[in-house]
Amino acid sequence: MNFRRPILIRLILIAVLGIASATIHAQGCAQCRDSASATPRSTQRAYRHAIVLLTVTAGVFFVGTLTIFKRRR
Amino acid sequence: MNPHRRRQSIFTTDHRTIGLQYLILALISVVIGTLLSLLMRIHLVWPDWSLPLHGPILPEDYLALVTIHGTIMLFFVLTTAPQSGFGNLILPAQIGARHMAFPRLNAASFWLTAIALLVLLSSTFAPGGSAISGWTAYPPLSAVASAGPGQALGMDLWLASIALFSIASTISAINTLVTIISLRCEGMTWDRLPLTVWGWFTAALLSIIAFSVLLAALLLLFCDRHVGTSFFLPTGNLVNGILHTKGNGSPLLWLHLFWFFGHPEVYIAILPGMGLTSMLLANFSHRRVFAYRTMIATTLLIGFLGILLWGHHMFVAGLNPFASSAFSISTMAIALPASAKVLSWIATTWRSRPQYTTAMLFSLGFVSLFITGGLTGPILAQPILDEYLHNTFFVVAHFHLIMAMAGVFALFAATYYWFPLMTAHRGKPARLMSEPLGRLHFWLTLLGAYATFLPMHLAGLAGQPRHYAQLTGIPGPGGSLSPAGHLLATTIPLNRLITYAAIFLAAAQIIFFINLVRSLRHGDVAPTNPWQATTLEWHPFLHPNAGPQASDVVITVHHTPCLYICSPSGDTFVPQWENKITVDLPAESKPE
Amino acid sequence: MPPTITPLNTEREKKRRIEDHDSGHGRRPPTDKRTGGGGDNDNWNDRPQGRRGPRENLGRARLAIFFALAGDLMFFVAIVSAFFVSQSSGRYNAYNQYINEWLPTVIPPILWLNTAILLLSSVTVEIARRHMFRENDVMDEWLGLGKPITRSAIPWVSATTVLGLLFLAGQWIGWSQLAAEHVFFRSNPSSHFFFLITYTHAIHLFLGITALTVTLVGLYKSRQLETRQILVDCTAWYWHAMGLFWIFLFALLVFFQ
Repeated sequence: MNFRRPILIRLILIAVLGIASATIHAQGCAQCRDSASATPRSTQRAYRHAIVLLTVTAGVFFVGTLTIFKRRR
Repeated sequence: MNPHRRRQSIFTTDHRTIGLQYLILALISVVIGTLLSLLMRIHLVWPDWSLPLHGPILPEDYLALVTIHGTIMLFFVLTTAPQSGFGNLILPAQIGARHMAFPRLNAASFWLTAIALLVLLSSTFAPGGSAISGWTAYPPLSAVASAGPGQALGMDLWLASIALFSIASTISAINTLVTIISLRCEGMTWDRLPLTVWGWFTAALLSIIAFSVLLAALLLLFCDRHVGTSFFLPTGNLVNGILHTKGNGSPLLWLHLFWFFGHPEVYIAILPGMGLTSMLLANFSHRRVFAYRTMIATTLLIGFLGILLWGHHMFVAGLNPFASSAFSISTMAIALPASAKVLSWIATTWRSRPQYTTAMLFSLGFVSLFITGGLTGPILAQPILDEYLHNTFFVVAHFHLIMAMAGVFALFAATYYWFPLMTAHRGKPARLMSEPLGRLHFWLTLLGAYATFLPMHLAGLAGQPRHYAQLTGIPGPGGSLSPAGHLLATTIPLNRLITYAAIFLAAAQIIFFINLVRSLRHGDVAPTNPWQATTLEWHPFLHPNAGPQASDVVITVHHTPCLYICSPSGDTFVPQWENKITVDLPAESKPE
Repeated sequence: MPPTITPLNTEREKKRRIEDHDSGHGRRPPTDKRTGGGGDNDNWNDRPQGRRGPRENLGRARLAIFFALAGDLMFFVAIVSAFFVSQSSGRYNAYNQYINEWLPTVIPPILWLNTAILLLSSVTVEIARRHMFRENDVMDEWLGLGKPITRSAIPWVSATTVLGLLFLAGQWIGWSQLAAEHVFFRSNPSSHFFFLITYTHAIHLFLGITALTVTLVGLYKSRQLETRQILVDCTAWYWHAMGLFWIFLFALLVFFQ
């Protein structure tokens, strides 16, 4: 597992950077700010949950398939 | 399994024939799609031109052209031809297998795809015409039957067609995956798989994930249209004079579900082409692929990251700014493996003296167009830039350069490269396509591609929106030209240029057809391994014309592909199936 | 610097002679210690196709079912995502009040019975599956000495089919009970999802029952033992997956509305 450690460290670093990044107030313009804030908080929360659910399921399946079948041969 | 003996029915389960059937379907689709795009371009610049047997192109006709052009090209050309067409044709041979894992499922998925195409084309004849909501089928336009011409039966036929296609694609992807995992021959470890196979593998994994979500989205849209639900319909839609007061849905839900599929879809379209480019560049440069293992990793990384960045199609849809940041970062992140691939392609051919066959030229063209199209990707990945550029022709230029041009260049390269394997059949000799015609085709197409799509960037930056059927004479207050009309009028000269270039580009493809048809009967007869390739599909015993006893020979693989050696005794190459390395290799270049 | 340093040529006189077959330590009995499987340089996967052992085709079929179920999982996850979004989505009414019309659909109690029946059917199909692989009986059947495993699997597969049909009947009763209460597909956003989820699951289960029927026919008619094993095994895994999906979907409907 020795050669896997640097990869793991890099992956963790990238993940931390991704999660802990500052919010980009990229829009700057009023239009999107308005429509985003018009979505009620509960719906926003629901969208966040839904996005995470879809992404994580797909990601786990993808990575899991690779891991399982890499080990097979 | 002797192809010489059995009479093949049209419902054959022979993987080569099914691959050719897919390719013919894709060829028909690309012709129709190109014609539709030409109609669009001509209408933009000469709006009064009247289509024979139809009359002038009305705005809804234009939108129907947009919809069917996009649907056909993306689904029936770019998803079928690289993955199912060439995949079925070549994949078993490249891994040393004699057949796909599930031949009958294979045939079933082809016929489902064919039926899907027929259903889509039949929507042209439906009352009201074809759907007009684009290949992206955004609600409420796509969810309310009275929202526009063609949105009743035409839209239902579109839904049925794409649903069938999704099922067919999923089945085909399962077949591909099981074949690659289980049917590799002796010695074919994961590290020795050709990069084309890695491309097919990743694209198949993405297909399974993406098309299922599309099917769910289509089901919800169907319910909205016919069962009275409102998953995607908000309250208060005034459609054709009728106010829809019920509804607590949001088009944003459709956008999320659709683009969760839509983004992996474009990677499905391009990944096999990227793998093929690596292999062809190595083949014709007589070089090893630079950083082979890294190329495998980047293929998988592009696949994985491709699942995480669908939100960049929704920057202006009112996404939470935090979500926009996340999607923007992952979109920029995918530029890293893509750039690594580009560097590898360049490094593979750097300072070699390649053999400039047509296939090599198209591979180099792929690299060129991929770079050009890819460079505008990080631009569009910035939400603040996408604010302006979304739905302009800048985006159109970006994805056409990458998908329509680079993706299609990969298909051309594959056709010229594998033509011997496509034509060798039941004792008929393997043939090569004509090189002079191929070179002419390449240069005209490259020129036409850049001439058509580079100016589109400028048109987009000038503000020309997508899907506008009318560029001239948009009326403003008091009968004068509106501000939009003024803006668009400035883009007319550019658009005229683009249309001329598009007609030129389409006309240049006639050379390809002439070459194709001519070479089928009168092309030069090809030797068994005409390109000095190292991958298994060129093994004499896996050749389509190998005798019946060839199917009993055990194929073994001894090392990675692209083992081209430059030694004092002269250039040589060792195909994957041969073990004899008679040259002294320096220690660090020993093959695994 | 490598982690271990192996000195070369420490022995000038090599005590090992290849023809002794004993590495210089004295003779061993000439038994083949290779046990097959992944190690021992005897990995069956390295053999040519068709010679990779008795479970070659079974492995492929299981892989296909795995990928198909993964796709199916994504399908249901997409619907569940839409469920969460729809549950929290409201609208502004004519008085500019934000209202959320989601009213949880009551679960007809028969659905609990149906769940129990489905779990029981998973048990029966698993028993059938294990019967198909009992080694002594497999050998007997493969040698043509009767059909012990087929004969023992048939009643369990039939039981699973009956239980599956009972489940579908129970679902039908549940839907009728809701209809009697005037709760239909289009009544309420929550009922959209209730019916969508139960309908799509029922359709998948119906496909499973078709597979079970084909398996039953195959158990009688198919002449290859491997085919019979594959039929039962793959149908069983599909059936388990449908049961597992139902548990999650049912939990969603019961606890998360």
